[in-house]
Amino acid sequence: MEFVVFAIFAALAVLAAAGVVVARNPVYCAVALLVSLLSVAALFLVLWAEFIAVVQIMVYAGGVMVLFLFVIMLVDLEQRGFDLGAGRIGPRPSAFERGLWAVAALAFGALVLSLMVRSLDLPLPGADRAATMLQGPYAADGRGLGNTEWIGMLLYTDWLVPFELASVLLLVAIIGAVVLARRDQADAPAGKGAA
Amino acid sequence: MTFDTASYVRDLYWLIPELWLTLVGFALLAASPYIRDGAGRRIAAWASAAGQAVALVLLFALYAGVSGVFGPATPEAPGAIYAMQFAHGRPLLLIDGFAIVLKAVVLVAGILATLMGIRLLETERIGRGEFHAVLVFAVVGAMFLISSTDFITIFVGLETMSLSVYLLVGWAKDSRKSNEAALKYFLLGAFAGGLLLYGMSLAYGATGTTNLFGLQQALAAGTPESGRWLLTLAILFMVVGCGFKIAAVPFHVWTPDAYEGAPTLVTSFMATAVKTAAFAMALRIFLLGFDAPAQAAQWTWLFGILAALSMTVGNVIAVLQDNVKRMLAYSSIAHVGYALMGLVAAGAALAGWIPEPQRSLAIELGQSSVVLYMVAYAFTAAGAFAVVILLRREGIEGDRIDDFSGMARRAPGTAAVMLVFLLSLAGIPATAGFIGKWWLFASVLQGGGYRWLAVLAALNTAVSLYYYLRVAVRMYMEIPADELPYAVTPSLTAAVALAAIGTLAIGLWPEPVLRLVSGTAQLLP
Amino acid sequence: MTLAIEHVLVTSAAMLTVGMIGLLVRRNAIIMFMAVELVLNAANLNLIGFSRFLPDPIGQVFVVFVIVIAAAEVAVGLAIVLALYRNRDTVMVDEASTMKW
Repeated sequence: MEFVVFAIFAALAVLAAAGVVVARNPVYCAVALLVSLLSVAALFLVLWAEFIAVVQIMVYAGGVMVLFLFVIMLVDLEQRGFDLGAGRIGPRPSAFERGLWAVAALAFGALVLSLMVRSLDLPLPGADRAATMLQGPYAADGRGLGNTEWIGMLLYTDWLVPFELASVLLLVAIIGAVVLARRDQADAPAGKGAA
Repeated sequence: MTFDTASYVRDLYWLIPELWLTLVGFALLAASPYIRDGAGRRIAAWASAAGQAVALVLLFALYAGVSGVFGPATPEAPGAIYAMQFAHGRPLLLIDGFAIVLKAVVLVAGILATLMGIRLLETERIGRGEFHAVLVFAVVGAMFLISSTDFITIFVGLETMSLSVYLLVGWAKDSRKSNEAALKYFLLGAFAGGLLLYGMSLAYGATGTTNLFGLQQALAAGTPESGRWLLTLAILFMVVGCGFKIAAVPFHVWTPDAYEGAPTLVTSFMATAVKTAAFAMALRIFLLGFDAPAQAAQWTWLFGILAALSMTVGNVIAVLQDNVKRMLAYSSIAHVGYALMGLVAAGAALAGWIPEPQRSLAIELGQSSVVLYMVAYAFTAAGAFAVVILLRREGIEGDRIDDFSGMARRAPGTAAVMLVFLLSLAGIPATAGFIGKWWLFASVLQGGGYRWLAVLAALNTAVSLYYYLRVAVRMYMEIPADELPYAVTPSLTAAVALAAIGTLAIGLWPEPVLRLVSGTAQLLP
Repeated sequence: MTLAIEHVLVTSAAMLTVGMIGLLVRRNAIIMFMAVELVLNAANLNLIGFSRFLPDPIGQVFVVFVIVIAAAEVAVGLAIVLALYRNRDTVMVDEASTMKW
């Protein structure tokens, strides 16, 4: 049962990923990416990571995808209409070149896969610990911690310092994105063409 | 997973330089909306430089407060001054001599970049107050990265630094070159981060830990037959990821464009601070995490190839450049090749290809020679970029080699200093570059089958002399290209002077630096 | 058939390959960027998979950080694309023609 659900969503994730690469229209690409990322969220659920699955949906579907679509609309619709597909503008690599790259990447993927498959009988330890993973460790009062609670405990104790650094990173991203993306009025260059 | 407030506060004590810098960044950010005119921006820039200088003082105050050369060994991390933020009993961050020296390099690079750029930011009209805040946050990320001994802290630190630098590269948003440079750097940088992460995930799967000490222990305990391939793949992905971040051939394609398109002070910061932090990451991952003989054998030859390619391709293409920034970009690629020799020497020793009498010496020498080279290169490269900034004037781009024509006649002092930087880049005696190269050669000549790298490096040095001296010939033999006065400012002069003093001091009186640097060797266990 | 780590690895390797193809073949900056997201998700899938089968929760903690960083990266990347777009009319990376190698 578990395997069936996993297989369905894994296939969906990979096929949708292929759609991102193949589709002509950037909007289709974005939608395919969304499907792929949501399928990955489903895979996370199957793999006992409920909290991450929800975060994945909220961050990617809620945030990232909106940003992507927003920029695609802004960039492509502003001047040129909807259907200038990804590869339509300007010179793009020839079919031969693209084929070459695709084959190279596929060969590399096959290599990665075959090396991984050689690791198939991974001695991942501890089916005995699997129960802990499912239920979480036990709190002082003897009740099991849920997945979210557990991640939260780890994040705010052992991983507190990187967690704080991540907040600096978000601040930088916000400030930088605003500075770069907005049109300056007051600061407009007197003479363009400076380096 | 228990939280001990006392130990957390103790941890924060050792992070005071980073915390202080973060506060400086916040202050600059908070002040930036109120800064509108040129004078205010100059004050903000000086404040940023002063804030970084205070962090440098704090860093050495912490270090001086420790007894012994580099402090007592902690049981968890022999040789470290302080290990902190334990997860599963293993440290996420390490304060050791290695970290202190390289953090100092990053701070010096940040200070020099800030000082040299004050006038440039005005000329390019990009001197918004937020610029300095983002630069300071990039320094914070780099300092974190240098201390990190866990994949999670490494990744967060790396991305904090990289994200800030992507923004700084694209900061001149009215310039197409700057936009394109930022886009290329960003796409390839993010991709490299993804590959690095993929490698980390595989290493995590093979050993069950994200910690470098944990990885080391797991590998020492012997890898199970089936996990071996996962580890091989992990090493492959991480070498590629690190190769992108340190700009080694063939993962260098973003470098010349990003270096040319970025505002020159950002270029200087990338060539010095970012490169130093990325090297620190590579040294930590491979010399600490993957130090088992079987794994060392794998990554050593990969890095050996990267080193040979980087120095050759970098130097040969640098000869063809007319643009100084591009030339320095290719030269920095070549220097990555030289610096990788130290890592390769240490790897060959770890792999057991160097017999015992020389083995431990080769490991120590390999590690410390990379650190020494980063110190030497930071001063030299920052100085060279500062002189390039001097040529940028209203209406004159000033980044062609021709723009150096006649500098000796117009500004003899500056020309002489530039000559020092060029000679140091080429590795001529009495300069920092020579001392750095000397150690790298010594480390790789310990044996282990990589002596040919030293030969190749010597040949490449000869090639590099040609294009470095070409600039010198322009400065001394030709008539001035234009009459517009150079963009001399007190801050730029200070930056050039600092860099020149550093370059010459290390070259003429290397002893203190050598002592400091050799102290870092035993600290990467 | 029971679910095993191999299945996760195969899926993630496939996503990684597709992402790499996208990065190499496409020349639209936004789509190349989507390909980078695919690579990051492949790595996340690995981490979560190992986290279940090891079993060990740190993989999940790692993924939290990766998702945060990926989101920040998207904001920055798209801001860069917008800035470029303001200055020129295309977002094709190869047309970044002012610069040669």
